[in-house]
Amino acid sequence: MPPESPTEPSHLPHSYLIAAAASALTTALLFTLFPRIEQANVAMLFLAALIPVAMKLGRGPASLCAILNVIGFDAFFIEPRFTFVVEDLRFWITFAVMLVVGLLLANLTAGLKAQASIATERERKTRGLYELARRLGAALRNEQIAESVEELITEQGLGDAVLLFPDEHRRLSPTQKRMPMLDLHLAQWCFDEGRSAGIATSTLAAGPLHYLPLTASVRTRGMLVLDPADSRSLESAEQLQHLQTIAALAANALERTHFVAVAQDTLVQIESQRMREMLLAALSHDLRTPITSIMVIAETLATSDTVEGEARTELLTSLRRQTQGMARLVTNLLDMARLETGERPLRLDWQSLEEIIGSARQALADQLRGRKLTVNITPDFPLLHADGVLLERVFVNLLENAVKYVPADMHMGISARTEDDTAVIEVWDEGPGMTGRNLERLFHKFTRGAIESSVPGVGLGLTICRAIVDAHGGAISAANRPDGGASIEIRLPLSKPPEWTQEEESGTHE
Amino acid sequence: MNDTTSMSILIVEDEKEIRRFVRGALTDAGWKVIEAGTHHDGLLEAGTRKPDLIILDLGLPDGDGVDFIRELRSWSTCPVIVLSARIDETDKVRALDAGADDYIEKPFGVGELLARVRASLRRTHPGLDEKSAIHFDDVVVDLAKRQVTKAGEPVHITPIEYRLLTALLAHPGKVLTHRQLLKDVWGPGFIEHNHYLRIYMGHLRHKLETDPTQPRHLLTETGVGYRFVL
Repeated sequence: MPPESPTEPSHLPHSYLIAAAASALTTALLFTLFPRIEQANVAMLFLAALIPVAMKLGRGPASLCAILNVIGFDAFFIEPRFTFVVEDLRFWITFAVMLVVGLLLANLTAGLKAQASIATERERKTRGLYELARRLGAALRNEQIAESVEELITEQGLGDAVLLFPDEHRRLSPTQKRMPMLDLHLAQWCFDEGRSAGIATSTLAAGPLHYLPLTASVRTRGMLVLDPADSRSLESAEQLQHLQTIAALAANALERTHFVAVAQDTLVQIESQRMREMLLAALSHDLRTPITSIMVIAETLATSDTVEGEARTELLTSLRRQTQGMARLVTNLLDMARLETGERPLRLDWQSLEEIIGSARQALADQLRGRKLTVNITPDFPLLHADGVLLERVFVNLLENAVKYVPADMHMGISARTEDDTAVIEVWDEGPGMTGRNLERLFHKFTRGAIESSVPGVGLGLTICRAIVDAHGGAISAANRPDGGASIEIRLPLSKPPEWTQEEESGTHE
Repeated sequence: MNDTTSMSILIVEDEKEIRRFVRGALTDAGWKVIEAGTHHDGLLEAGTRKPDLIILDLGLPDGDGVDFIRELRSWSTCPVIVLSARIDETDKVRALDAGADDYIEKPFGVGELLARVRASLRRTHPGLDEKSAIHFDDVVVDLAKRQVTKAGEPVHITPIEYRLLTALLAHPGKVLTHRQLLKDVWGPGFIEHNHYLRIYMGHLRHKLETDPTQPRHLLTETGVGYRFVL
């Protein structure tokens, strides 16, 4: 609601009528009290009555009231009464003084009131700016800044405003908030030139809207476009300045969010850099053993003429396994890095757990040869909505770990069942189990801190398993089985299975 | 066994070591080998020497392997096996959908290489049409009578399961992408419906494999498709 201009009431014709009525009322009131009150006191009271009139109705009407009061005083309280004739000429001085004092009183009081209004108005504006500054101080995103500014401008009665922000090519993007008369090209020009345009400016002043670039210390960060509440909103220099102050606050806030974003990006880059360095360190560490083995085997085969038959086959098989192990390690590390940086998004599709386990077993065919691995999947186990390649990686890693830890003649297994809307998959073995009180730490081998130099490759495998399972919205945990051996439990959320139409059975196919 | 010994194989690979290794393996197996180090030379050689098979490394620096395949396919049906460094399974799927016949992941061994080469060469030479029955393990698929038995006992196979099975059997040793299988068995409208494949392959595995959790013939190529091996 636009505040009433303090001088407005004096522009209204009926203010004068009210002032005249007030004068008449005062006269009537005093008349009833006369002659108990002396003339001198009547004069004082006439003057006193001017004050409320001046405060309420302003300069003009109060001046009229002052004049009418003098006339009334003359007419009703000075002999001869009920005439304008004055017998005692000393009363002319009284009239003169009364008129002058009355007019002064009227004007000063009205002036004082006006000052008070202006002060209140200024305080309102300042409070608005203070509130805006406070809200902008807490704003983290450009949308929040836009909201706060647009709201304040509406509250302050300036009109309807919308903030425009540039994309990474410095092109302003249209906002969701509608402003029908908004000219995006003009806004873009203002943004590029850093100049304002539209109503109350020197460029395209006939336009319906006011375009104001939001420029802070470094560069223009956005545009403020105002649809003024009425044509007079921006008339006064004070109103325009008020708008510009708001714009300056907004520009500063935008600059701050910009640099916060830059700082965050830099932090992410530093993190990625650090992750890469850790992974490289892990890689060189974990590759040392297989590389050494390969070197030894290759040298043995090259230099010794006597390695034949079974011994030779064994060496060659070992060579192959070491190489495959290295390849898996490198793949793990690559995928870990890419998962962390978001470079490899999840490719979700309907997967058969049976197939994934089958593929994992295939990939580790050499390692699993001769081992007892039992797979038990409940008959009605549903399709999983998951990234097949990554889920296969989880099982490859878990089986590879089991093979490293569990003696060849001990049982290993994978079992899967559902619990309400969760798939519960367990990879278990009857081996020695896992050491350490806090088994959770097994999954954190390669986050901040030291790289554990335990069985090579184990740590990273579990860390990747966790990253992949987490990415699927699931959970992975490790525990020792009560009867001995280790158990890794994976829980994955089940999605509603897809629709499919069963074909009609036609008996044994002919 | 097909007589493929008079055939020539073109290898398009920029790394000398890999070229040398593959050449050695292939010539040992009795094939002639042509080499090219770039896509450009590869296309030239393919056009002039008309090899029976092309082995293409997807990681060549002078272009996208998929473009090479598309270009080649516009005038040749020569089978193509792509070598991939396993960065991303979508590279392989793209290559296969663009017209490649199979893929080998690096690092690979000689055995795998030769098996894939033979499987792809077999495609262009008489295959399923001439056979009347296919045997694997204790399973017999009688194509003439459209009957399947396991260990002598008839196995109940639905029409769609049979279609899926024969689609795989038609290209023994070769990978078939999800898209290809869905199109062949269910039709073009189903190419986004991988879950049908999962369900039906599961049925086939349970009916025909001795251990469906450790299949030896109906293999899954995760993220890519399926492969039938004898």
